[in-house]
Amino acid sequence: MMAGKVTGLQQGAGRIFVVSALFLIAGTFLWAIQVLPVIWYWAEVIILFPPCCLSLGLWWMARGRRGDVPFVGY
Amino acid sequence: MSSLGGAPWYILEFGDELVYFTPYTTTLLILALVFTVLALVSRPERQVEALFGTDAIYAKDTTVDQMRFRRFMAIACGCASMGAVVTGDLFNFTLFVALVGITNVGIVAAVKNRHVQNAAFQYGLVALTATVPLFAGAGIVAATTGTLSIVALASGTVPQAPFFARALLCLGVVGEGMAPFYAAKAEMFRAPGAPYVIMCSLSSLLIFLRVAEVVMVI
Amino acid sequence: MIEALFAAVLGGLLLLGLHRKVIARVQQRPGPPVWQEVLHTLKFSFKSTWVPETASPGLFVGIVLVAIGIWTAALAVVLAGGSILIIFGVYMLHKIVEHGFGLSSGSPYGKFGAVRSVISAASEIPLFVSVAAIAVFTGSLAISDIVAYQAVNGPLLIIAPPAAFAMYLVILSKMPFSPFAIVEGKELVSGYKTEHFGVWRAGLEVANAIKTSVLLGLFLLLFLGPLSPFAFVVAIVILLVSLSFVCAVTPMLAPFDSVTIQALVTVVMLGYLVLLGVIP
Repeated sequence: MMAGKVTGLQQGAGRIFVVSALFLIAGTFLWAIQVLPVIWYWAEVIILFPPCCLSLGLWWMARGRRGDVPFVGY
Repeated sequence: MSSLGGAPWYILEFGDELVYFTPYTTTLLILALVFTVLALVSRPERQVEALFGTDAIYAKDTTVDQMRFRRFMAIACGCASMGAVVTGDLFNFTLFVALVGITNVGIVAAVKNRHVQNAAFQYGLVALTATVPLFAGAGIVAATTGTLSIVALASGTVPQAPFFARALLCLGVVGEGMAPFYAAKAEMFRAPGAPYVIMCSLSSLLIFLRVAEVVMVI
Repeated sequence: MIEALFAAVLGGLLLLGLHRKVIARVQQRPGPPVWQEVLHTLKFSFKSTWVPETASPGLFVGIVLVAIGIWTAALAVVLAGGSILIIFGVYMLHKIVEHGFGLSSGSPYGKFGAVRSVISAASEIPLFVSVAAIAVFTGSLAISDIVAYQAVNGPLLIIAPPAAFAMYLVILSKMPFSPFAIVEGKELVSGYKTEHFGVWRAGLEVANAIKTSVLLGLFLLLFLGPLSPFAFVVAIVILLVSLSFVCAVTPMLAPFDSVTIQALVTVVMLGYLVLLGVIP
């Protein structure tokens, strides 16, 4: 395994994480100063929280390995 | 109880027929939309199965022709369920529900496997039979109340729809969305192509949820 | 409100950890520490991750996003005091998400978990919808109206106990190790979760944490009414411990039996509706 080497997949995931986290923070700020209506704020959280969550883990450890066959027995 | 799913955000009128977006119908619409998009963009998976009595395993493939047809049916099914969840007209609702039944059969019937075809044939019979109570329910509602608009029926300005009609409507919808009730037989799941098989179950459950709201408000 | 989301994730993971701890103590085992599920989620996040060769990649990844998204939406509905019909919709989609998790990988174990999720959906969703019987008393299905009704008339747990029982059964069906948790039966390795490992599983754990918080919190809001934050935490722990006791002392039912029991309770709920005069 190419441990320690950052792959393209990880870079992409890192970008998604940074962008979605920035949008979430900006949305929270805009909502707090009452510029963004609460319904739009929630819509933003629902759309951006899942990719933000996953991309953080992918950025950390997804080495872009080739797929393996599923587990079919002991 | 005219606002079970919350106050409407937006009502789109086509003459006397209307489409209305309450928080509830909008949620269901978005769910149908998300899965239709997933069916559109994902390639079918390859089911792994063991050869009986040996250690060998193999993965099933889906041919391109079959995939195209099933994808088309899955998208049609997604569109039909989107229509069924947002429409404000009882007759349109029954039409969309009947379309969901037909496309469900179509998704399953394209697979060239004896067991799957058998399942599709049985779905077809149930879906065909279920159209009778479905349209009869809507017909009785129209005959007794004089309107098919769910909004008018919910407003309380017309007499309440008879219990019998509501029961028929439920029965019809359960018959059209029969896929979850056949799940235990697992014939349908011999068919590879997860995004399409999921559309079957999703559309059935969506129309169940919508009919629950409809029979409560009319 | 993002803090509510983090609280729901962390709280849900701790509740699931407590669930395992209580089950272990009832069965006279030491059990894992209460924060075990938090560690689990972190551990899965840092694992090497890829997509199985036979999987449908779009669905395999997309379904994890949908799982987190729908329960975030459910949390939003609960916090905003929206209609419980929307929660029914989310719950229904959760069954489809389980279905998608299982089918998307091509694994036979996942497939059977997925088949079971649809079988149980056919009985669990009518059961959940029967909770709507409380609308007979409150005249509304909006959570905010139901809470306001209870502030005046006392908890619905006493006014409509059958509805509370139906909701309790729904929550029980969704707890790990419960008699109704047929989708993740050990004879299926991990059921629908079998092929989702690494980051995908971490995402699923996050969704499960939010789901646990939302369903337990919803039960308290629907049947106990307005509670102070402290009383809410105490009540949620008591509710969870009661669920853990049931899970600890009952074996997992066969899929057919699980569906039969849930369907029978739904029939009892229909009888209750007749008694209330909703159905002539």
